[in-house]
Amino acid sequence: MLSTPKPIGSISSAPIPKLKPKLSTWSVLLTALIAAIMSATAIYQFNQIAERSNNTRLLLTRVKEQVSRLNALEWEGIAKGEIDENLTEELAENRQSTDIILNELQQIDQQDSLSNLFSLYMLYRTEIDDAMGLIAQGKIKEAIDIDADGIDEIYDDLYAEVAILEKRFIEQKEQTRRIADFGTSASLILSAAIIGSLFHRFSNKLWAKNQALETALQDLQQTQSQLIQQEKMAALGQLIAGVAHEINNPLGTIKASADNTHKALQEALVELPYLHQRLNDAEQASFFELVQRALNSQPLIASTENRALKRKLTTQLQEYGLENARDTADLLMDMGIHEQTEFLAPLLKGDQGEWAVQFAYNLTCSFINNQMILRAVDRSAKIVFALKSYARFDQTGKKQRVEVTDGLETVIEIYHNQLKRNIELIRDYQPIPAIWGYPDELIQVWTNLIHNAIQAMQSKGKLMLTTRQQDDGVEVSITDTGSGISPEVQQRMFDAFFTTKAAGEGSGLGLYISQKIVEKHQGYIAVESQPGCTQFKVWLPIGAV
Amino acid sequence: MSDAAILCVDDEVTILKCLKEQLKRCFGNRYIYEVAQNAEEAWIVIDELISEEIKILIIVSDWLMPGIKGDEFLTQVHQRFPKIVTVMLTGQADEAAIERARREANLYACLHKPWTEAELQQVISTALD
Repeated sequence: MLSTPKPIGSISSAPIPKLKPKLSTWSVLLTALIAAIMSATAIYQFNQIAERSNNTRLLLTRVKEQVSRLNALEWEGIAKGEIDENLTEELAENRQSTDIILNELQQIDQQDSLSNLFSLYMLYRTEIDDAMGLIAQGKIKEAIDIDADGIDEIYDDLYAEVAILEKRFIEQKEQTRRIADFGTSASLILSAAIIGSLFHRFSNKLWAKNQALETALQDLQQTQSQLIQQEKMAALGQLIAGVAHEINNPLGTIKASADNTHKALQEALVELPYLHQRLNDAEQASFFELVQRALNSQPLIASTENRALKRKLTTQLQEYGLENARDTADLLMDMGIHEQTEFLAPLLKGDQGEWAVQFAYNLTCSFINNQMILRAVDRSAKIVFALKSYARFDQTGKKQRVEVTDGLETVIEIYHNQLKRNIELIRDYQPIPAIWGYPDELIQVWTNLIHNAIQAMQSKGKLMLTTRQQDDGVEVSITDTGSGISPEVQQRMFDAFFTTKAAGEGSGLGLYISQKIVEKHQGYIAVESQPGCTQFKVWLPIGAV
Repeated sequence: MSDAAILCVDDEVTILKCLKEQLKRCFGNRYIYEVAQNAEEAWIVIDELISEEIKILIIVSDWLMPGIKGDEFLTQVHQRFPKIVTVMLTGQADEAAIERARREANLYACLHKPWTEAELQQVISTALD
C-alpha cells in the first residue's frame, strides 16, 4: 500500500504546473530541432570541403601524370628526331586533357592557392613548346640544350609544387573530415542528451499521472465498497420499517386487548352481584347457555356476508322489542352467535335482555382477548426470531453449513405482512442437502429476489419457491406472476446502479450484490422472463469448507 | 337508536376486533361501529351505511394495507365526503404519506401503533365535539 496523501492535492492543482513543463518541452524540442538542422548543415559543408579537397588532390595527381606524359612525349620527339603525325596527335590530346584538368582546378580553387602551379605549368609548357618547335625544325641539339637548361628544372619545380599541394589538400581533407566527424559525434551526443532529458521528463509526467490514477482507483474502490455498504443499510432500513409495522401491529393488539379485558372484568365484577336478582331461572339458564356457546365459538370476521347476517339478527332482535337491537346484534356477532338463537328467547323477552347480553360479553370477551394476545405474542416472537437469523452477521468469514430453506423461510417470515393477503405462496421444496456457504449473505440474495418479485406483482399474484438438488449443488427457483422483465432490462439488470425504479427508490445495487454473493459461492444466477411469469434460478454448489 | 357511525379500516382482523371493542367501551351506544379489512370493503360499508341513512362521522384507517394505501383511501373519502373526519392509525409511520394525507385528506390526527386507549378516546372525542 502506498501512503499517498499528496496526489489528491496534485490532482486538483494539476492544470497550473502542467502548463510550465509543457512550454519548456516545446522550447527544448524547437531548440533541438534548430541545433540539429544547423549541425547537419555544418557537417554537410565540412564534408563538401573534404570532398573538394579530395577532388583537388585527385586532379593534382592527374596534373602530375599529364606533366610526366608531356615530358615523356618531348623525350620521344627528341629520340625520334622529329615530330611525326602520331606524336602531334598525342601532344594535342595531352594538351586538351591537361586544359580540362586545369580548368576544373581553376574552378575549384577559390583561394588562389594554385596560382603558383598554374604559372609554373604555363612556363613549363612554353619551354616545351619551344623545344618542340626546335625538334620540328630538326634542331635536336638545341632542344636537348633547352631541356638541360630549363625544362628539367621547371619540371622538378612543378613536380615539387604538385607534391606540396597534394600533401596540403590531403591534410585539408583529413582535417575537415575530423571536424565533420567531431561534429557528427557531438550532434549524436547532443541528440542523445535531448532525447534522454525529454524521455526523463515524459516518464516523470507518466509517473505522476500513474500515481494520480492509482489514487483515483483507490478512491473509486473505496466509494464502491461504501455504496455496497449503503445498499446493505438501505435494505436494512427498509426491513426495519417493515419490521416496525410487523411488531407494532401485535403490540397494538396486545395493548388494546389487555385494556379491554381489564375494563370487561371491572364491569363484570360490578354487575356480578345483580345476576341472581335481575334474572329468573329460565333467563339464567339462557344466560349461561349464551356464555357457554360464546366460549366455544370464534368471533365473526367483518365481511359482506356477516354484515347481512347481522342485519338479519338485528331484525330478529327487534321483534323482541329491544331498544338497541343493532348494538345487541353486534355484541352477539362478536361472541360468534348468529344462528339457532332460539335459546336466547327467555333472556331477550325479559326486560334485562340487553344488560344480560352485555354482561355475558364482558365475561367471555376476556377469553377471546387472551387468545388474541397469545397469538400476537407468538407472532412477535416469530418476527424476532426471523430478525435474529437475518442479522446474524458472521464475523469469522468462514463458510458454514447452510440449510437453504431456512434462509428462504426467514425471508418469508419477514415479508409475511406483504405476502399474506393477495399473494398466494407456493412452496415446492424437495429435500436438498445442506451446502457450505455464508448464511447471512444468502439471506440477502433471497430478500432481494423475493422483494423484487412482490414489487413486480404489485402485491398481487402467485409466488412460487422451489428447491431441487441439481448436479453437485442445489437450485432455488423464485417464480412470480408479475409484469415480467423486458429483454433490454434483462441485459442490464445485474449492472451496478441500474434501476427501473424511480429516482431515490432503488439503489440499483440489489441484483448486482446478489450476483456477487452467488459468484462468491461459485454458483450462478439466471433469469427467464415473460409477462406473467418471471423465474430467477440460483444454483449453489454443495462445496466444502 | 344511534344514526351516526365510526368506521375502522385495517387489514388485521385482531386490530379491528380490539379497536371496535375499545371504541364501544369508550363511547357505548352513542355510535354505530363498523369495520372493514381494506379500502374496497370500506366503500361497501360506507354505501351500506348511507343507504341505511346512517351518517359516518369518523374513519380510522391503517396506512399499510394491501392494495390501496391508507392515505389514498382517506383522500378519496375526503373528496366524496368532506365532512367525514379522517384519522390514520399506523404501525409504520411513512412521513411523506402522512403529510400527503394532511394536505389532501384533511387528516385530523395520526395515531401510532401501539396506541393507548386514552389517545384514541381523546382524538375521537375532540374530533366529534
